[in-house]
Amino acid sequence: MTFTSKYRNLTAAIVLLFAPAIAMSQSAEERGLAIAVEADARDQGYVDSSANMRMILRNRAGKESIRNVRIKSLEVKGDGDKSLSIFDEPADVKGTTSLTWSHSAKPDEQWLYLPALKRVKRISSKNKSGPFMGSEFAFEDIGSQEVDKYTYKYLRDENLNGTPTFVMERYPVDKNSGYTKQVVWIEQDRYLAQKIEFYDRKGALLKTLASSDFSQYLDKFWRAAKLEMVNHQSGKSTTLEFSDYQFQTGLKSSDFSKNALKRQK
Amino acid sequence: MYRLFLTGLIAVASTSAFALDWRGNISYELTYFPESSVGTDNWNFNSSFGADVELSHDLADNVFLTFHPFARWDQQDDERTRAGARELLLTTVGDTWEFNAGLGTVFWGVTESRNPVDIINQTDAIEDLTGDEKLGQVMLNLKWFTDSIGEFEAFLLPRFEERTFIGTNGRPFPGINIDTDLTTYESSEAEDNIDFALRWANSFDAWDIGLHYFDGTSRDPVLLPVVTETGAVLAPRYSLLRQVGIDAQGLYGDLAIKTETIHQSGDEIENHAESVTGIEYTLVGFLSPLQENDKLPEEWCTPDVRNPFKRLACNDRMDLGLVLEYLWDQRGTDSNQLFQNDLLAGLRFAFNDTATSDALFGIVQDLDNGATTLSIEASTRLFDSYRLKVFGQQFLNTSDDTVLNAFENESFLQVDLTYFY
Repeated sequence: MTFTSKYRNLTAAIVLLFAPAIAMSQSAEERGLAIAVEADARDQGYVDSSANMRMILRNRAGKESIRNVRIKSLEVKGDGDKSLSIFDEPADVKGTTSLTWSHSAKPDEQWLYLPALKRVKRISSKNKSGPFMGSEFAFEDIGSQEVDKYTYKYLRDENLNGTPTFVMERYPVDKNSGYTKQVVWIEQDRYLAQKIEFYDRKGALLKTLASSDFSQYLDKFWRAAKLEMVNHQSGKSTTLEFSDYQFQTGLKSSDFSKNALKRQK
Repeated sequence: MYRLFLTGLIAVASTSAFALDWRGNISYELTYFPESSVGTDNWNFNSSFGADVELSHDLADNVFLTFHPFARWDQQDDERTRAGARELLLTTVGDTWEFNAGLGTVFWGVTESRNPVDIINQTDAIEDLTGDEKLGQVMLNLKWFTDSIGEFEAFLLPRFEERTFIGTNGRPFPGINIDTDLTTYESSEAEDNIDFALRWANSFDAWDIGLHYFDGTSRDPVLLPVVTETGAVLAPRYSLLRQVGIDAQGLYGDLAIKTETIHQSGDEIENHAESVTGIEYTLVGFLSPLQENDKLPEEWCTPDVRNPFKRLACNDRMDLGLVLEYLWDQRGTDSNQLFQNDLLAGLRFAFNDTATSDALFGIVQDLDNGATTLSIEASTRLFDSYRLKVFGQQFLNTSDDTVLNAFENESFLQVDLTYFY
């Protein structure tokens, strides 16, 4: 959730200093970017966080399968975040751990620890459009959402279930993205993404993500406890439930190293 | 002394109040050999049960104990019916270092077909026909991590483990019995020779590079023919050697370039180099262009379609990996390992489905004599906590290969159902 700091400061300065004046002359693209920058700025300074994530995968017939993953994140100043995912369920992948160093300027770096083989494998981070653990979430949907991973266009203000939102389109910069565009509904009060529509490479509506049950931590950071992704083309859906959110627990950079992958429990 | 140390570790572990983590499994495996063996026993089916558990116990902050016992019962091969431990390891970690003592498992390597750099642990050749399973190695291991100049580690390996071999009644039968009672060593200390190893590894943008040095007993025995009262057998001979090696992987988007190269020297062995070099290229969602470019009738790709062919053609989530590796040994046909001038070509399918299904089709061909091994390895998840695995190998055109020749009738298909907890 970071952004090249020089660029961010510059953009923020423009937005803050000239906000009243440019409101009239700002283009839809500038306004979209300003909203994304503001949303990002409001989440700065979380330092580190951890949570339990329960994934419920449903096929068209409603049959469910469950995954349990513990996630840990570390904020990195001037670059993308580092994150760890430790798989507890299904039992055959228990102990499998992935480490991601996301970057704003260069491609992300990713490693996977396979406990049965005692093997740390560096994996390609180019595969953004692939499904995460067989779910309806692609890797790019659950990865660090950095400002400069998209370009933006403000569309309109809209009431979503009675809440005033900004509606904007964003276009993935990475040509390996599985999407041509996303339409995002951002709550005006707290700058939280309430709903996102994903359009596939043919431009057809593919999925809708709805976020709900937001809680605030450390009087600043808002996190959704529930994310619901529905695939309109396959009829499948995936729910993510987050619990036990903790912030500033003292995680260190050395906990997010290749060597520490083997001893994550 | 060694036993006392292990007993001490267990005693410490059992009195500690910290949390215990575990992962384990129980498996049943059925292997079918369609043809009759030249071995002493003429059976076609084998059943085997296995159990494994890996326990991890925090003794204090940054001090923990790993214990990994295993057991197997085998219907046909007495050598495979056994129990033991793959790990009993005490680990202490700091911010920039890690210390391990006890019985441990270490993996080095990047390539798919064979890992010549992976010299710390002995291969447990009877546990798993893929050759991935390792025996525990007694070790003292110190690692030091830096941000700028990579990671360094040193190993002291005070006790050698012999390779396991299929028993007289086991299959695939290598043509002649290997008698581990007749094992000999170049070292006058035999299995008590103290081996040591050093390794450095670092990352440079797209490249991960490791260098190592090993001085001690070879993990790969030379098999010497010996005539006994009961007939001819092969006796494993473990020579002393010094090995230097490099392993490297470069990742350029969906293309991975990999190499493992070693040089071995010693008084008893021929000084030589070995290497495995190749690529893996992944085609992400390789069938998705069919839909994107409207190559398929639209009604095929609606959720109601039941026809498996149409469903497969519309599966835009599947990845295909293309694997190509060249295996080389400077000693040529004098080598004590099989892959002296061989090529591996493989197709790896990742279905990215709810059951995390995968399949790997491989062909390895000896470029000198044409001996060919076809293999299939596929797996899928069943009932949330089970995994069903199919593994098969077919040996073809083996008549001119002195080692594979014996495997002419040893092609097999194995089905394995494992419950994980």
